[in-house]
Amino acid sequence: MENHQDELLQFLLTADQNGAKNLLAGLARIHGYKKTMVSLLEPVLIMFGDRWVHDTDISIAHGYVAARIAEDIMIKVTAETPQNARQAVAKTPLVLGNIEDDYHALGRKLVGTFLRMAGWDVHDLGNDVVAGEFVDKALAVGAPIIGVSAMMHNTAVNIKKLRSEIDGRGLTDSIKLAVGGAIFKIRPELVEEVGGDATATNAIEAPEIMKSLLNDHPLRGAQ
Amino acid sequence: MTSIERVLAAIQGKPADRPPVSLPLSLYGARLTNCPLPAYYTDATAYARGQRSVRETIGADILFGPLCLPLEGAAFGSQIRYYDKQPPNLHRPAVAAAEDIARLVVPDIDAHPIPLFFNDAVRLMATEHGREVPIAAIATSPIDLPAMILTLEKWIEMLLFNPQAAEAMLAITLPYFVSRANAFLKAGATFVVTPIALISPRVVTSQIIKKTLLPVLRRAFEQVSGPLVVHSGGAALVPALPWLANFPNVAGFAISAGESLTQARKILNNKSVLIGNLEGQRLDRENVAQIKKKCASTLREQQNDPHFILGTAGGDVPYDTPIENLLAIREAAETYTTQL
Repeated sequence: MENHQDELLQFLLTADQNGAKNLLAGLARIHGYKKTMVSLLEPVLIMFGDRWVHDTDISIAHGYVAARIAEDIMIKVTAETPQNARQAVAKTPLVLGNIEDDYHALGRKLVGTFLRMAGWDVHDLGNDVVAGEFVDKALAVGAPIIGVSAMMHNTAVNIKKLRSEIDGRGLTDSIKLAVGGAIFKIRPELVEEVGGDATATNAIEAPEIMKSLLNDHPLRGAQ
Repeated sequence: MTSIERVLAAIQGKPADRPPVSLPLSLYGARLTNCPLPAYYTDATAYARGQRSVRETIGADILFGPLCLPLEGAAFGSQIRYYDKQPPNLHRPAVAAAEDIARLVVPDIDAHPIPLFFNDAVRLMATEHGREVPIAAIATSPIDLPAMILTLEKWIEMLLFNPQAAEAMLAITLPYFVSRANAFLKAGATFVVTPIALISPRVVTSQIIKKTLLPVLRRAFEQVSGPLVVHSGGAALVPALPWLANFPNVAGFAISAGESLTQARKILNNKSVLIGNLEGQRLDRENVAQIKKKCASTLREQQNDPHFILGTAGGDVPYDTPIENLLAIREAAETYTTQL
């Protein structure tokens, strides 16, 4: 499978969705979708994520294509996994959404895709989510992390309400707050200003950041 | 020198008394006149009053027409939401799916209240200030406007996976952009600033830019009857400069904060105005000393560039920016010149 890493990476770097899907489908016929995902797509996505940070030619559109490919293979992995085996896998729940007044869904959807691929049980609340709704959902599903997205400064400041809601309900230690979106790249100091515990440079980096938050979690310990 | 003489000198590469200063203070006019934003972004007279106050209070060398990209989407039917201290933002797009493009109603720029507001504001400003201060009208580029009609997500998806629908969308926005730009120029705008984030290889793939977007931009620009300034729209513009350097009617480029003015100038050779690239979005959080230091550093870097205009990058200057921070930029340009 390692022999195909460069080939798949090239498909991702040229946003060639069909090329990538055909390669993965061909290998899945031999090895199955789960092995193809774990042994090929996952390591290549990490390489792609690294290039996304450093290479000025990698665009949001490339990330979008990578997410589509990841979504497609996840559907096929689920389909080939027996029902009883699916239920037996324990996943960590995580609540995701765009903060109140924010309607820029692209980043959030990309993050959701890569988190699901990394094994998280993502509860995506969509756009324009008020602080109380985030916390209610996190408590209902037992999520130790809320991931919140905002594209612009005027909506990012609404994340302060979510920070206050978490702290006000005495949940500072039990629910961590990950923040993301274009504005945090332009103004990194905003992460602290709105009360975020962590942020990721891009969607592919998000699972690693969430894992770190979980490992540092005072009530959970290492996953 | 008047502001218009100073900016003209930068366009022609001739000496001036000091470098011109460009600050997008579209929103700031509402603060200076204490005008509620729903009135400010619909009433051309209220907008022009705000810009009169901007000129009297700040004295930057360029006055800007309304800067609000979502409002341009609202002309096509997108819903917007107003805030106390921010320009209105997109709330619900006009079009949810590719099939809906055929049902889009293209606004009549001579009758629809939104394009009329934009145009009337520019006309009023040009009549009052145009002899002394350049008036910059703002028109979202034909390749970016679909993001205000569809959302950025849907527009990227269309460009990637549904090229026919993307072509149909661009067939609407291209002539609309040309009509608006020419109407602005006819109303007295000195030039038209067009934000183009979709030209950045950090936003869409180079293949899509070259195959689909650049040809549309070129066709649009060659039909505009006056000068255009390409604005980064907050995305990386320098990687796209080799493609745009020789586009018709382009008089200047405003690059993003953090990008290299030296690199941009190298690509553009000794032509085209270069505007930049203080971090406009941070002006509300910095003090006068910090701002003057950054201005001095930028001016030193560009001291041999006769086509340089000192200005902020990004969008509108934040509402809560202290007036002294804005005055500091103009003062830095004046002081720097006297020190030479």
